[in-house]
Amino acid sequence: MIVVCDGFEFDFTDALDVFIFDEKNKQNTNYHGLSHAMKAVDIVVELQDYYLFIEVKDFYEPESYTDPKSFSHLCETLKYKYRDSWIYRWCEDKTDKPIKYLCLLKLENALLSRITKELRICIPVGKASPRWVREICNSCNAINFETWNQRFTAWKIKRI
Amino acid sequence: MIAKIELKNFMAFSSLAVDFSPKINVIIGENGTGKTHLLKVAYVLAAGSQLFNKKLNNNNLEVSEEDLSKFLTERLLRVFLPLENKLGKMHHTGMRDNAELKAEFSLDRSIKISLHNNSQAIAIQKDHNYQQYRQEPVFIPTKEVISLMKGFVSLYQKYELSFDETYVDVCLLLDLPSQRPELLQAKSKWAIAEIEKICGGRFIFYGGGNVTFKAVNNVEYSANAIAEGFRKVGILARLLETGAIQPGSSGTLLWDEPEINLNPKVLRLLVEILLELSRNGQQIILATHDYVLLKWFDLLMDKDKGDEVIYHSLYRDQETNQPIVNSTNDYVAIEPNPIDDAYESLINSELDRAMGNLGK
Repeated sequence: MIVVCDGFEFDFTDALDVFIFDEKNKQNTNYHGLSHAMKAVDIVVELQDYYLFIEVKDFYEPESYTDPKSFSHLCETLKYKYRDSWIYRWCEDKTDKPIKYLCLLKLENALLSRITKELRICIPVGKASPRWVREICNSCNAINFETWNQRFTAWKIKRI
Repeated sequence: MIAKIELKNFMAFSSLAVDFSPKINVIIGENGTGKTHLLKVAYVLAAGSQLFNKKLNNNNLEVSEEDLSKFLTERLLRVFLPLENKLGKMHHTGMRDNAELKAEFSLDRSIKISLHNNSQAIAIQKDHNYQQYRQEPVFIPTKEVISLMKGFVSLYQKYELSFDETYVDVCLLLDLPSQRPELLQAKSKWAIAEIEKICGGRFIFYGGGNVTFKAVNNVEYSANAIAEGFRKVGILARLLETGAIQPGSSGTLLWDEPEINLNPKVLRLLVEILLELSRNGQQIILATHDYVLLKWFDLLMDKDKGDEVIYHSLYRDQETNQPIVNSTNDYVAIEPNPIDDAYESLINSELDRAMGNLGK
């Protein structure tokens, strides 16, 4: 299933459903409609056993993320996009499968490791508290275009 | 200033040519690709200046070819420590042709030497105004030396130690007297003060390898009681203090893995200092495995200030397995980049754990 987002064409060959989550076109059935109140990830993919939340940030100036303030801002943005999207999907009663969060960022690998670590802590990933019996996020990874295409051979992306 | 090094059939290299920036050069590469060897060749060939300056001081202006050959032979042996202390052991294994080492310097000066399997001494192949090259290079080896200075030089001169001569050379430079403060360049003073702030004091060199550390509260400690990382940056401060590194007039600074012993947080300041020195005419060639050091050069270099950083990636050719080099001034174009590859491997392992076989 093909979806186009932020200059990329994604092809999820094994997906049950794929759609632009922060859809701004009112005519579209997946119109988000709450962008004034809630942040949103770019794409939601439904697989057999999981949902994928995908956020694409390819257009930012990558060098700015080494500035601690920009780095924190990016992590905060990615965190709230996930959490708000999760709340939205919970309200739709669509959190019935574990959710994996993939952030496609134009950053080199060393910086992606740092962001992945930060997001896992702040979203948080897994059963983060001994009191939790459910998780809001099953896994989270920040990844760049090159590694994505090497790794996800069944979910190829191309720039358009 | 070293403009170019060319090597044929020397040590691991069958054929290599590297053009250096007069400003900053960063050599990267996996272990065994010849980074340190390249630094050492540059050091030995630029070190002829030490002999020429010595002769000049003794009013003996000309150095005979025989003396030059003897000097460079000894330098090669002591810096590379080849097996059985034989020059021929530095000849690339299995090659018939002679090993050749050539350096080109600024102002049209160059030297080309050669050796073969049975050489007792190197042969001077070509000497073009080489004796006019007077900028003495400085080599900072990987291990810090402040903790071992006391008695080290005497021991080295008397016994065969498993330290190459770059360690003795830097110890001798550290033990030089301090320059008069009024002779120190403003940028050198600034760098010394910044390093002092990081270390919380400064190393005091009393001569004969006696070194202590004076903290900002004036309490003096044994240099060995101070963190290794501080001793490492203390070397740079001292070389500036003695004038061994004097941007604009001293020779090339060659530094093998500056990051060793240093907390990554200190690397930003180190790169700021190196960039400032290069802006004042100091050529720097360093080798590194460290992402943080590499990245700070990318982020802090400022073309508007005339900065230039050339990244030289040494790697083994897939077909011949010989070390070759790719040089670029564009950080994102460094190829191959084993430092980035190491992080990619981590990311892939994290993805394996998080995603399993999804998307494959």
